[in-house]
Amino acid sequence: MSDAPVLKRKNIIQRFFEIREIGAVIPLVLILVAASISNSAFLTLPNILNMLRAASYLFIVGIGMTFVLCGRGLDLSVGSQVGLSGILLGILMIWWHVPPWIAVIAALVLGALAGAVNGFLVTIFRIPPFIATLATYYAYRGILMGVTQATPIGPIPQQLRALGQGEFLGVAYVIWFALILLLVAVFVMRKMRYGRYTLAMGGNVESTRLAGINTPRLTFSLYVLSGVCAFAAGVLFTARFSSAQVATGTGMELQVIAACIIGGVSLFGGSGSIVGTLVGCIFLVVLENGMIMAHISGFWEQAVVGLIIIIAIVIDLIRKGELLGKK
Amino acid sequence: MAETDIILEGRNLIKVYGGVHALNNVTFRLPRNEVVALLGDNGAGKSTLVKILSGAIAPTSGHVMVEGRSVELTNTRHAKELGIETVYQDLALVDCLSIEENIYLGKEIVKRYLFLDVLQNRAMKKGALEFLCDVGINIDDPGRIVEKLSGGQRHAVAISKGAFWTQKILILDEPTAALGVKETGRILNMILELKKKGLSIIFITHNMEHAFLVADRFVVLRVGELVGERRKEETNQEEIVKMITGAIFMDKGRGECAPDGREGL
Repeated sequence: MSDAPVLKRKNIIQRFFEIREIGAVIPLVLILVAASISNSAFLTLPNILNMLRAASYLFIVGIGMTFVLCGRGLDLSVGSQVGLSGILLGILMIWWHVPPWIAVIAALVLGALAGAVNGFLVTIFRIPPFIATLATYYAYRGILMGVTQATPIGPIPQQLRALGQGEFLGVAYVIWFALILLLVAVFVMRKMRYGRYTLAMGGNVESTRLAGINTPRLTFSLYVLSGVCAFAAGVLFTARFSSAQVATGTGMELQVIAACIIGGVSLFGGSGSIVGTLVGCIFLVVLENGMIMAHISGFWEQAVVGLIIIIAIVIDLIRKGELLGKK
Repeated sequence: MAETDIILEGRNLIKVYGGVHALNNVTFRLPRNEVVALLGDNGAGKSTLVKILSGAIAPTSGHVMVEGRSVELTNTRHAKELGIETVYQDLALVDCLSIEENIYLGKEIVKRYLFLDVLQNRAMKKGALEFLCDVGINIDDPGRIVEKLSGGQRHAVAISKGAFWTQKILILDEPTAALGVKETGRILNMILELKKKGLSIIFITHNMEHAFLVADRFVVLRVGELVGERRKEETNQEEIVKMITGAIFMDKGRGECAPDGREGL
């Protein structure tokens, strides 16, 4: 080592892989090209807006998940939380005749509580996040099934459906919400202590604690954030339909985690970006839609998702220098 | 020694872990603007002592005095406020953050807009770069991720991080462990450099050579007890080794057979 550190020259391939979102962008472009060639209806404004809308629900949940993963946590219960949120809205508005806006606020509060339970299990009882949130994944879904006896609750009042179905400048509200949340989340991650500390904690809990940061409280807050995001997505999703479905959000946790990983968020904490997660969400939706449009059997979709996840992780390893380059 | 200005003192410190005395009535003094090497074999109580002095753990009994005033160090943040910075060999840095983010971790420069504290990344980068140059580390880009630095650079950055935040007391936990000769030399120079800047430094090491190159004073612990304290002028490596290994205890007829503790040399 010389005193002036010699910057290791990186070859162009390594530089290319250093762009965090690259793992998702390349396949995304490929699918976009393939689908638009095989079906002219694919790259039309209505279809694009349709895909963005579907991606928005995933992304809103994904914001919370990105923070949790960056802080070296995991939240498997988000899908159940999305479902619970819709059912709660149904119960409040239809069974108990609570005004929609109060019901929405109540849902967000309960989202914070549902997340707090996860945070409590992880920080106070020190249960590994995978197990704690696996438990709540079952518990939350079970609660909503038990309370509703597995029957949907409807009809959703018109005021709330305006939220789910309304448009501004021809673009659905949910897309606008997602856009606003995108800006806020990027700002928090990059320009505020909260994001910095989350990444630091994901990188090294002990060092972060020694730097004077209250890591248990931070961890706790990440799960609360995840809960609020999941419930917000649940509200927007339910508002779109005529009734609150008990199966809403089933399997969504894995989709969201897949979107994060594809977008370059590390499952081992300490690195990730909100924009990456957004790209991952769009990727999943485009893949689904594109394969239908390209007349490829939808049964293959999951196989492709699996492949892409593997590619994303390989790219992550290349970026960290554990594969290719470095020595 | 009483006439010297003592900046940090642990008086009659006892720490008991489940019936075991990790520290047994140890009194430790750090004179102002001196480098004190804290020596001892594994399990001698060096880490326990340092953790108490840095606020990471509380002593079972005894107390800590900073600049002559008795203080109760409740946590590391409190110790930092009093000007005590500790650099742990493994725990100093977060690998996934940049140099500059590490240096400012927990103490970021922020600017308040309405109710939001916004990180001032550019100002932090500038501050980090200036300070690193000042202590003689030439790192061209403080935005580099720590993970990608060499071992020596990491140690240097870790120490600068500690030094950046204190004008008073710096505690270094084995800053030269696992380094090559050249890198070690650089770190030792840095310690002398920081002493010139007026810092008082506690330097924990296993390595006698390193200790003699930079320390003004040696404090030796053995199985939780203070063996002795020597000024550099009044001792030599042989005596210190004897103190570490227990040979001196044995002379006094207090200890068991001296173990061969010379691998530190």
